[in-house]
Amino acid sequence: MKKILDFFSSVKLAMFLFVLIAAGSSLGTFIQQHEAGSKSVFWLSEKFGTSHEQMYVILSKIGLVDMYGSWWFISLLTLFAVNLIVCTFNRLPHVYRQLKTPVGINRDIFETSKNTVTFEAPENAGEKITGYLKSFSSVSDTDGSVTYYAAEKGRFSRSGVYITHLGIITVLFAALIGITAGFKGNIAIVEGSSDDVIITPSKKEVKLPFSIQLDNFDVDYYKDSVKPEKYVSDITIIKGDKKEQLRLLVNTPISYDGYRIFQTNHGFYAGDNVLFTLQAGKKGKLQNIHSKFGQKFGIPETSLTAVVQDFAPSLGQDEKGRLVNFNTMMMNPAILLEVFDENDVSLGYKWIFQKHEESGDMNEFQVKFVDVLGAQYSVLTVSKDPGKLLVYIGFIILGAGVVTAFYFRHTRIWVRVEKNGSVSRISVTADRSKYKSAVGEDIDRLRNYILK
Amino acid sequence: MNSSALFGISGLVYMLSMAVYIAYIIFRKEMIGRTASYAVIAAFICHTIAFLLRWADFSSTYGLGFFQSIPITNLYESLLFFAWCVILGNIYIERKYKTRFLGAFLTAIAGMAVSFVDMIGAAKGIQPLVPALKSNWLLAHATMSFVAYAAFSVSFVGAVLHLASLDLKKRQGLYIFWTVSLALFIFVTVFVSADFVYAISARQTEGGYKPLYFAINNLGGAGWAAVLAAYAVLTSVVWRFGGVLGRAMTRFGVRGEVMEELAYKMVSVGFPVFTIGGLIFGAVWADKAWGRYWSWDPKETWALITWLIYAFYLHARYVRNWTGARASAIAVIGFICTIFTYIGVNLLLSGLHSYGSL
Repeated sequence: MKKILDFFSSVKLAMFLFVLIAAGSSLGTFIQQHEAGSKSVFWLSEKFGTSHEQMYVILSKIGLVDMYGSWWFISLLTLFAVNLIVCTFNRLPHVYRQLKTPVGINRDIFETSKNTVTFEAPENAGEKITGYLKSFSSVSDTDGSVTYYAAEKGRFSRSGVYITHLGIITVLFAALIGITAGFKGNIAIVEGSSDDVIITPSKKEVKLPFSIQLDNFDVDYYKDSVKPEKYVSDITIIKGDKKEQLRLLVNTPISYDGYRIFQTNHGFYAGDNVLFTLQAGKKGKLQNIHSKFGQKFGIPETSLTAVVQDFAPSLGQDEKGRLVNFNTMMMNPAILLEVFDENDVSLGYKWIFQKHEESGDMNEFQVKFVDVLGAQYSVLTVSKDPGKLLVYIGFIILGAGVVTAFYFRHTRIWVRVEKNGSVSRISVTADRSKYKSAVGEDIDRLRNYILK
Repeated sequence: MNSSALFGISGLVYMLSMAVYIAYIIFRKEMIGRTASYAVIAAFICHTIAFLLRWADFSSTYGLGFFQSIPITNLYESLLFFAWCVILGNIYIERKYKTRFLGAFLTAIAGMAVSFVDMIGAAKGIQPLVPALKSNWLLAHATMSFVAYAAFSVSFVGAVLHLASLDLKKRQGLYIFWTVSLALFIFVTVFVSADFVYAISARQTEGGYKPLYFAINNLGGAGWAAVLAAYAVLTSVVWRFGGVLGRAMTRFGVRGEVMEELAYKMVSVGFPVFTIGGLIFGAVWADKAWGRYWSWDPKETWALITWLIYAFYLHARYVRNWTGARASAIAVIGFICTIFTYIGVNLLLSGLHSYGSL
């Protein structure tokens, strides 16, 4: 039993696992996970003379395409967790004692320690030492003409290693909760419609207890740039007869009923039910109009009619000045408007840009392209992770642990003052928990203070 | 004076200081060494001012909050910040260890990083932020990652110098290991820079530049053979003359054990920063932006691997009292992983974390 315990608590095992986990997880970065058509699969199938489907099957059998969920990788992580837990709790009593025990007077240390420095100082050395040790917690004792001091600083820092380990254990445990009890998946919604089924990465469908309706989606671009500035999904969450309108941005997820909703992706959807919002009429007296493709509408206060014939999400000019639709990213949306006179005779076509109002200026009237609905979809990620709070607690513990362990150290100083008339013979020795070879600095600092 | 000119000047001075430091090592004149130190400090001040100017510029151009506009949003700006940290390390070491021996290496790293940025002109135009980067976690995550990378670089120099000081035989595995690693480091730096210069001259940088992308697309079989041959030549030169480094250290009284402890100290400084900034804040940011704190994305995974290697180093060094060559060898491996996390992942592997490329 003792042997098993020793094996699981050994640092050797930990170091061995560091290497195995590092080597194992690097494999998964070279073979793209869950990707039958990845380069690495083709490369391997070429090398081994198999078809790439066969290679993918072989790779999945040995657990290389779902590597981080494979039995051997999970076993490694489990072993790591066991190692960490056993090691930490095995040493806890010892550390507890160490943390509870303050430094004590030690009359023999000056002879046994090889760091001891002895020098002579004026009479007032005693006061100087007490002054110096103010920032430490110290004790002193006097035997006739000899005074002993013992002082220390940063004893708590010895707990840092264990706090760090505790943080990692907490994070691993929280991750386990997340894997077993949580899920996440994506949902794609076209503007104006709603849905309540998410698809998980393993292609399973999960029905949500509420449905999400996408009221509007917009991408804002930086001025005169193709770089997006923000993605906005205006959604309504419908649960029974309760409706809640919310705005979703990248980096600003929505929490609802223990679920979290994120903006993940977006795209262009060329459907028939696209609805255009326009404003038309005499200048300064524009009225709102909603229209679909091919649906004629009258321009208020005139005898003219018009119809939307085409729509381009990113209309621009190429180097020869020809009109070109560059992509489907809604960077410069425009509609092609055909205008008719009272006898239904076509007067011509005109592109009207949403972002350039002047493009809708005609002589007697004006048409503004306000918005388009139903031409885009937004992909949202919905996740539920009951372990999330615990993960954050683990992060805080881990962070506090490494700071304690690395940025503080336990320093102990022992001083002996032998009074001999007007001079004192002083012996100093010290010990520290880290950078032991520089312990002379601690001694020198005290000596310089006394002799100053 | 705009910030990019100031960055250029400081990069140039770092490069010149490297030459002065080398002259100092060759001629052993105190005066020369002092000149190099002062030049570095002057360039460092210039670098700091440039960084602040750019920060202010960024903030006023895009009307972002003070913290959101810290200029470390792409590979090149982050390189500038990284170089700044490395030089800070150099100044600290000169004060603390009273030696100018490391100056030649550290100014080489910093100078290369800054001139690289200057050359590509990325410093001239300020770029707007894509939505996923608009987060206060960016400041915490990116800044701290680069502080840690800089600390690890200094530890690499310490570890290599320690290995060089051991007076090993040319046929010993450890000697071969450190000379090959040093050659690899020099080679990668030069290769990436050369690739970029070619990409610029061939006007293939439009729409974004990825390190070595040009070489990957344009080098044929013969080209790659030449690259490998160049690497082999460089390695054999470093292997053949590696002993010179150790002898120079002896002349300057730079002790191997001190370098070993410097490597340990720098890992100890970098490791908590990397744990909190690189891993924890990265996870928090991923959670805020993508809804999961860990997804085995290649960048994340490689950060974890780096973290595990340094955890191995710390346990070996502290608990099992490895102080000799073995520990330094691990520190060198750790740095190779760091570089791979920094550049290699963006270059070779695909994933979500694509902000590192321009």
